[in-house]
Amino acid sequence: MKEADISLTTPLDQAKVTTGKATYELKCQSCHRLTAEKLVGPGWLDVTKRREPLWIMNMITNVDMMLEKDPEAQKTTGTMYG
Amino acid sequence: MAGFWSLQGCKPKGAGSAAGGDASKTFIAPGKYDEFYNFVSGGFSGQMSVYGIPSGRLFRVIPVFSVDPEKGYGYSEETKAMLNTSHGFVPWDDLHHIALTLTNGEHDGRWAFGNANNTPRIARIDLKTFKTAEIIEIPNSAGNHSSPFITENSEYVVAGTRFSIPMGENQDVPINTYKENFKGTVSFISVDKTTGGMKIAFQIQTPGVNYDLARAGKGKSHGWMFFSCYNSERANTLLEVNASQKDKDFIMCVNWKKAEEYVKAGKAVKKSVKYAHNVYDDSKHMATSTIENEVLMLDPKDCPDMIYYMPCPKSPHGCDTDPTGEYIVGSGKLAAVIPVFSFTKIQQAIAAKNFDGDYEGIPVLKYEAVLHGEVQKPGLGPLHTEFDANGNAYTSFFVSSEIVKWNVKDLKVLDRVPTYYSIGHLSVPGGPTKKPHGKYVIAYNKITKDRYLPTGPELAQSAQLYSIDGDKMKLLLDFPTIGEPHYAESIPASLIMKNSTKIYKIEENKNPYAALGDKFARVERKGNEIHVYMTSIRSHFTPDNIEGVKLGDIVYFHVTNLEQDWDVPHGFAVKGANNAELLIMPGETQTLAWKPERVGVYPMYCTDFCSALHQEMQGYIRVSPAGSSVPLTFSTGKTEPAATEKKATEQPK
Repeated sequence: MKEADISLTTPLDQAKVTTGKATYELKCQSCHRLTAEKLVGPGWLDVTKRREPLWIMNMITNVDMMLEKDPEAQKTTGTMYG
Repeated sequence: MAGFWSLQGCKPKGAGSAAGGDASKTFIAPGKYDEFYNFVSGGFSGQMSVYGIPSGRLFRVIPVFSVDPEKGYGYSEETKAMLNTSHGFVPWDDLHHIALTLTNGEHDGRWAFGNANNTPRIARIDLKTFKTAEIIEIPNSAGNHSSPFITENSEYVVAGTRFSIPMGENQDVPINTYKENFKGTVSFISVDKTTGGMKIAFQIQTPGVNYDLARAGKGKSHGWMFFSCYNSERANTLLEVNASQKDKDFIMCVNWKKAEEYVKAGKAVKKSVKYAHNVYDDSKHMATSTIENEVLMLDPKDCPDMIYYMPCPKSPHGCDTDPTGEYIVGSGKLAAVIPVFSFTKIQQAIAAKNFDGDYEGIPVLKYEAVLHGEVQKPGLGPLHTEFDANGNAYTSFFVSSEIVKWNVKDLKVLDRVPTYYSIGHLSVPGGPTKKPHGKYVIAYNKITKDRYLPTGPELAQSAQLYSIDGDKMKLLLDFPTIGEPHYAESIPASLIMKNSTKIYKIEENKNPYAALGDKFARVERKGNEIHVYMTSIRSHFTPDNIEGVKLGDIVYFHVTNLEQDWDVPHGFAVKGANNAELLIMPGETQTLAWKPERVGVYPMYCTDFCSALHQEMQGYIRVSPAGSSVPLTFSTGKTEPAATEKKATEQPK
């Protein structure tokens, strides 16, 4: 995923929010809370303040590439990916 | 070599020195794959097993006709219906033969069929998921042995009766009225080209003989089906003696295209019957069972030119058509020759009405008129024959424990190797198709004395792999199998492995009890039923603490595996359950019913080692006395601080 693939709007596109939330509940929530609580993976509280959108999207959808190439991503291994 | 073995008599002596094993040809280096999948009947285990060839390694046992507590098959609420029959739930059967689907007479790698011998049924296994997808019961049948054999384009799988039985309204008849009241049937089960769905298209009622095996015609003989039969004496007791009186029994030749015409012309009679038809839905992850009430029956009396009997020496077992479809090889279990029949001559004899009288109204073809020739002195007790792509046949010999290679056209014996011991069926990859893949022949044996370390009175079942690349067959490998291997088929791995399902997509899970995400995990009471909608993912269940169950309740654990990663099933078990475990594939939902019998706190845990913290994947469910006021609660990752305070008021008085 490239920078150009990501478009953020203000206000957020509510249709995307709805499908994104459904995807989160089906595929992410078991291990990632929206609080700071750590389960198998880290909680996502304030992740948008720590990371850029491109980084977050690639960490979710393209994790193997990130662990191979991205120094920040590599630092997270062994530290709950945070 | 040929002369040497024939001098040894029935059982080769010094078997150890005879085995020029070349196991290095069967070694598959780590990271490499076997060349063939080998689907092997599990016999009295009721299951179908999957091996790699040439390594002989067991990859999977697919539960088909018997319950399998390991996989929860027949124990989970979703799978129980697969084993429903007109006799109710049947937890066991005896699976003898395999048929892989064909397109233009060649393997297409879509489905495998297996037969239930005892309570007659045919199962279809999906070769994407390696799961039993469908089971259909066969009415008017007993001892469903000459099944399932498949036609060139998978138009039909057939199912023939080993036991003839009384049929119709009055079945309460003296057994010694066999000749008068007992009939056989053969069933033609159509296979939907797209879904694989089975339907009994029609049955043919026949004289009361015992049908043993079958093979479809191919190429020029496409449209015909051949069934071997024994007990043309129609004995009902001590068949060992009484069904071995006649010099010749029969191979029944059925013109099934003609039968289709008769069905279309309305010649079939609707018979009132009762049989179960069970289908597994891969999106609901759930089986349904429907009881059907009717079948179409053709009576040869009303349908001339549809079936003929062809004499075949001594209680034939195999009746195998060669890749060209011209030759049909009969294997009389007590015969000293192998008769090879010619399809062209069969057609000529029919056209010229060259009959040797009739058997119960069915024309009997003249043996000499339809015979291509006999293989002389091939061995003792021929059972079953398969073919390579070079015009050669390989026949198993039970009594003399050997495989004999011979040329189909000139009927000359070319080679023979011993098997250890008492071989039943054999299998050449693609051997029953129009284009055999060759390379190997595998022997499936009945007796294993002295081959493996002893394991008490019962020894391992056994198979042997031989190379058939050269002029001489060579033993490569001796490998044990689950019991009991009857027939098997091998298919190139390339036709199957690329289609293998890795996960079930969670978005497509339509199980009505699925919890599609933790948000939907919950516990609900409906009268005395407690429904736990549970999720599992490495390495926790949601919920994992449940209270408020009372004695007298039935708890249904509906466990959804949220994983979307290949080879990450989760298991589920609860202490004291009079039931099996669940083994839930990624994206699947399965349900375990549990009726607690005692008050207490019961542990539950994941049974399939799933992650580094698999051991932590556990939880508790509390069972209180009937009439307790403990409220129904559930959670994961929370411990109510008030738990100790509540205790005083919760305890039943």
